[in-house]
Amino acid sequence: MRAVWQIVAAVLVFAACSQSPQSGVEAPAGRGWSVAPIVENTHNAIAERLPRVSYQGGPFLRRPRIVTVTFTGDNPIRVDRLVAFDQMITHGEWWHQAVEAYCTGRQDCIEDGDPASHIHIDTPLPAQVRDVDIEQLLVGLAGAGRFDPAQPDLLLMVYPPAGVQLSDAASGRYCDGPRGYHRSARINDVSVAYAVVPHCGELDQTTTTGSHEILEAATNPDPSMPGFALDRGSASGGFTAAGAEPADPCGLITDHQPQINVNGVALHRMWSNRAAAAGHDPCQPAPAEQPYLALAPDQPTIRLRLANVGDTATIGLQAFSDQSVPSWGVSVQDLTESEQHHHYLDLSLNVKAVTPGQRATLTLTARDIAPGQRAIVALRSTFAGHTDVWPVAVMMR
Amino acid sequence: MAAWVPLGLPAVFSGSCAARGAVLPCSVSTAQTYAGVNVNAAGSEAAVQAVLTKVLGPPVTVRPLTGMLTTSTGDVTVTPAELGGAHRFWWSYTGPAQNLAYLTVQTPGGFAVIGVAGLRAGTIDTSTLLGGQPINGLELWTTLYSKPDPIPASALHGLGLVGNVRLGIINNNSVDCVHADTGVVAQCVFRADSGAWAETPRGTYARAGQAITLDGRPGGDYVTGARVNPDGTVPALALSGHDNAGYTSSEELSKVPVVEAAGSPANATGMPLQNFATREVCSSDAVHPDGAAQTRTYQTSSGATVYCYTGRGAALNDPNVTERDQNGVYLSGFQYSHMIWTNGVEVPAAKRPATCCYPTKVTVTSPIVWRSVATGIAIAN
Repeated sequence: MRAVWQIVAAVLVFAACSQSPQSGVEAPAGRGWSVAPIVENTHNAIAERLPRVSYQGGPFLRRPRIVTVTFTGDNPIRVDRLVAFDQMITHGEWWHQAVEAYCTGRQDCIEDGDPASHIHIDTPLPAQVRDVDIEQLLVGLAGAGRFDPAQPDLLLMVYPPAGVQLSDAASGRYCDGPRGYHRSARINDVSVAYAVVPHCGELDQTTTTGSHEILEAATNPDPSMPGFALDRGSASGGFTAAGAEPADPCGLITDHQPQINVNGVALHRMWSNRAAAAGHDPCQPAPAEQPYLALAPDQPTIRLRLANVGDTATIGLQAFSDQSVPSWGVSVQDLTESEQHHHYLDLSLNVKAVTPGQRATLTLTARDIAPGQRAIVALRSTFAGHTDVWPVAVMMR
Repeated sequence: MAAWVPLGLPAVFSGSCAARGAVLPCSVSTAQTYAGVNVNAAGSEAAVQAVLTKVLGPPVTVRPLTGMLTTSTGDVTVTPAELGGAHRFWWSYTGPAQNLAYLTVQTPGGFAVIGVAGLRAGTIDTSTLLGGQPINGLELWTTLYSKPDPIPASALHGLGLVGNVRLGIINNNSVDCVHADTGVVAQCVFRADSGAWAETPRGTYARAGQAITLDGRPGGDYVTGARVNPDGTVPALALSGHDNAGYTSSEELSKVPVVEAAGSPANATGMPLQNFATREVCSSDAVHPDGAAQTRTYQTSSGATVYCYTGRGAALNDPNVTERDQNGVYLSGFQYSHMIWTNGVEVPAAKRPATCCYPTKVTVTSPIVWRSVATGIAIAN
């Protein structure tokens, strides 16, 4: 099986190397592949309404140098696959597409990663481990000389094995909700990026979450100082409701289906400024045959203000598709109610199906003030078994 | 005793601020380049900023509180009386600025940057740090931003413990606190039922910005604070980038709020307040400090004229220390979040008139200035 994964990795890298440069396109210095300029479609209503990821001023990893951390007690085949995954993930077509827009200037970009390495720890993890325990473990590994925290662009990928339950102060049990996280640890007075991806099921789930964390750790190695992220604020509407880093919106707007198979490896779809600028599904790679459908508010993004119980607001909506679709089903859902199991809003959508360009109306009435005085409403478009979500933030302050 | 280095010879400094993982204090040599800025012997605002950017990460904005001093001047006292040629000295600052954060010591061959945030006096020995070079003088600097010192938590208790929220260490069942209107710093009792708190590997911390009484009951006239570290960072709840598995998450607080001057109507950034107040805010200000739209004036029973404002920039009193737009959405950007420092303790800032009495009400005959957030009353929003 190890050989199969090595072949998969080789195919992914080859796919990247074999891309022919596009005409009139130059590679930014340091990058070994070409990137066509992103062209904003100023006449496209979806492009106008979707937000963009931009540079926020914080650090980022230019050539991520992944160190895979695995533990005794894990399945050796799974360990081999994770090592192979970490070796290939920062190269190839998925990576190039994911990071293509992430430059602060022509000379300063996220590039292909440096070669990955592997630390296998002979001591088993206890059955229950907290995030602070993992951080202490990494400090100990550095102290024992297992890695050099001063290496630039370091990213430690920690994979607890099956049977180990991960928790942190906010999540009593990972896998039931969040499936991984990334963070910055201060080790020997150096900030080191690391991510933890527990065993939540099949390897596909681990690689999907792993790709999410790797890209977000590369773009935002210190989450308290954002590198590349969506602006929070009215301009991004509800798109930052699940987080502002480049993979976060894609769990929400793909209706919990952010996984895509790329050359046999399950990976997370990521925000693409190029697709957003063209009015296509902003979470890429997206299945080519799948239309991107949107029931979008009239303004690029809208934040409704329902500050008091009983307040009502009505917003105009319009249906859009980037492919020829005769009609599709639409519905509305209060995501905050679904997650908190409490009723905050009455929602009334005046249509159940739309055709491209059709207008619709959503009426909202506040019934209780949501936690944080903010509720998230999903405008759902469903066609041929897949659903696209346009999130709207409803402010109750 | 360090050897004396003749003028003109290259210095050998012990602490390079450019080294990966450098912490304060550290030193820089003339002709070194930091963040694109070339250091000269005299040092400069740009050079100090560039050094701190390397050490603390962006953004960094420092402003000189003094010029280069060689002897006691104004609010600054130094011993020995003449600094020239010394390697060790005592300093103190008795002026009004609360955002004093850094001190630089110049020599012929470069300078050292020393974190003094939260301090008003101390002894500094630069003999090793500056390779034995004799001191030319020193300069004090204020900071514009409050940067987080992230602390991961092992357990959270209570509400509002979101990423980047500031944390005050609980020692012997007490925490630093600040009177919401007078700014007086005190120690407030803090028990498990006093408010929100976090267990961390570094100790137990209370969430900053909670109203509390001196004896530890929730809802008093004091506000819990966070002690500023000497390097200008402030303990804060570490933020993780979670895979939220498609679910929504709570809003985070700004990472790097601006440090405002308590009692001042002016804003540290020089930009007017943008917070969109949905309520009317009444004060003694005939001219609003941020140019907000006036709604009315009236006279109190004692004959004082009261001026009322609303809308953009009228006031700010938000427990999350961040300004909102007209939709109620927090504005994105460092410049829209605010803290104040008082005798080394940071508390969430509000720009508002004073409050008084029980139950709490606005003192409409007071001016709109930077104060601690008032959590027991709705002002502005």
